[in-house]
Amino acid sequence: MSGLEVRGLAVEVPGFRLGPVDLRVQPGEVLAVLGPSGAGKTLLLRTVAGFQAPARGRLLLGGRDVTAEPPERRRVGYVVQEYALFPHRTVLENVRFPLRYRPERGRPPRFTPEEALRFLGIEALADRRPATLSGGERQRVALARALVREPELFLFDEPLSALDAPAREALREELRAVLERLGVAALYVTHDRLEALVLGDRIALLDRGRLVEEGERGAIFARPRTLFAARFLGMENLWPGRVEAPAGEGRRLRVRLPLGVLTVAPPDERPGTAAAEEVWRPGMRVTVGIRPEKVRLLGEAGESPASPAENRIWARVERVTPWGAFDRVRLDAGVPLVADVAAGRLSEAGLRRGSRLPVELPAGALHLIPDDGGEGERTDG
Amino acid sequence: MERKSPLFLLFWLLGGLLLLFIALPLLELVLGQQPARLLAVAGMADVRAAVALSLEAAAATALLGAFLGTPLGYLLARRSFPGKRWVEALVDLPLAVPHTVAGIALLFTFGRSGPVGRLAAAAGIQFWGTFLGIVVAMLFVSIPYMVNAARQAVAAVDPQLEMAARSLGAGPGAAFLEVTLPLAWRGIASGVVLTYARAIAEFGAVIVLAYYPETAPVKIYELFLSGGLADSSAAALLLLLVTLGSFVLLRALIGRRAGPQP
Repeated sequence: MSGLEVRGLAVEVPGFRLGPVDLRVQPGEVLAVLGPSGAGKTLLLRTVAGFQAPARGRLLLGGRDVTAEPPERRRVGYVVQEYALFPHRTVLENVRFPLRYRPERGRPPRFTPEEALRFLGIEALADRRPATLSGGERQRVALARALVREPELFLFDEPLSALDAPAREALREELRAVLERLGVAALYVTHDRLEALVLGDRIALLDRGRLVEEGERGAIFARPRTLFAARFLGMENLWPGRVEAPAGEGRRLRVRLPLGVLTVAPPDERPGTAAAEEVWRPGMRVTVGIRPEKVRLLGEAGESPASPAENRIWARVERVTPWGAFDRVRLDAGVPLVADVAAGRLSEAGLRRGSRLPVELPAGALHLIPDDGGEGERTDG
Repeated sequence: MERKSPLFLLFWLLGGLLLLFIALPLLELVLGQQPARLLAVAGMADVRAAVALSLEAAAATALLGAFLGTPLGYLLARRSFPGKRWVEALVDLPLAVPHTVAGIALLFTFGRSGPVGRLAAAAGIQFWGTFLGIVVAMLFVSIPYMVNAARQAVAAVDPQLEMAARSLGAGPGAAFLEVTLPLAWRGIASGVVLTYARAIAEFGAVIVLAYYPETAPVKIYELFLSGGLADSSAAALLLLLVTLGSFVLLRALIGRRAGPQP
């Protein structure tokens, strides 16, 4: 296959072990590698780029085994934080740099330097020095330079993290658009889950050198299989529980939690797998989670308390924090409960700190994680 | 405008005293000369030869130092290896060794009966009492400046630039020559100037390993012993002017050629 294939990769540096990691990135696909600092993300990227020799495992790039190849023999477009533009060269000289080291001098490159500049809309910057460029312009120059290298794979090491917030938001989308147009495989390392969500078609979660979970971005956000993934991806509400009994109809389950017995309707994740009542047997210890934006405050304007009374609990508003487009509401429901509501909705409904209101935790939005999913992590942390 | 504080007034006072301490002896050296004597000494063939020899030997030392010191500076800046702290201490050691001691140690090694001296003699090369001997003595005492300057210059270049160059297809050599060296050039060059300045000033190690041919400091010492203060101070001023002139010229050259910094 083309694209990138990582097989059983293990990397050892003093005081740290990465892997074994198995990954595949198809051409045209962006895999976001997400994890906290110290997870080994940059080490993974450096190993793929050829700057770190793996202890075990193999790397295939475009179907070719490059495990033993030095960086200059791998067709990789490595874009790092702050972009590593050569400060003593002009933009055009930077973008021309890869041409001088092409093995196939006869064949014209897929992108000439001039075409690469045009592709990214920065022809006008050709004679400028990198020091005079804005963050966005630097990103475009770095991409243009990498394009001239004709990479089979792009590697991004937190390219946006050094930028201020407005530039970061704009460039996130721009980068996504450029990657879509190019159709090259890309590995994108970040510690920012929003960046992973915007840029990654799939997301691989890395924690302390281990690949914890990997999946399609929507699925991994909505239905993490591990506690680490649930926490890191912003599933703020996580409670330990025990499966009571199948609720009778369909795939619905009854689960006992600190805040009462709730009905959970696990979605049919993978066709052909066992029915929910066979996977989640009575007596099983689980963690139940719900994303804050799925929690419905029924006292809010527009929410009718006349909806079915399933999974309804009472909670008291403890604190409301403006969070941009929404307000983050911390509630006391016997246990802490976090809900995100559209900005201002709560005060419009006359609710404030101390107000008591009914809260619904929709059965379809409640997510189950088996207790071995944390791989030794405690559920009550 | 910063607020005045007695503390910084004191700092200015102490700093001023120190500057005076440096400038006054040099000023006295200039003011104490009789122009006729200065011209006479400048006309002495052996004095002129000694100054020229000092310039040549120091220049050769600086170039050799750059060639040998830059790779070590690079390794110290970029690599971690066992015993690195010992290597760093060893590099700095010549700064702490009294220079006559350094000269004697070099004589034991590069002299006619020393291990390197014997090997070199087989190839027809001699250090004791030769130009090469002067360069060896100068290099020993000045190399810490070169290695440390190169190390700092390379450390100031973002290693990600080298990685970018490699990833864009350049081999290790090309990445060093195309990216690291042009960016570290200014720092390495100021190391060369420091090495040169330290080398031209060297007396102790040189006089032990190579009294002859006489470098300018040795010649001045000899004049001091034989002719007294008048002749030796005239020669000293001559050397000072030539050294200062070449030093200023080199610094100006670095400033001009380094180009805009990021």
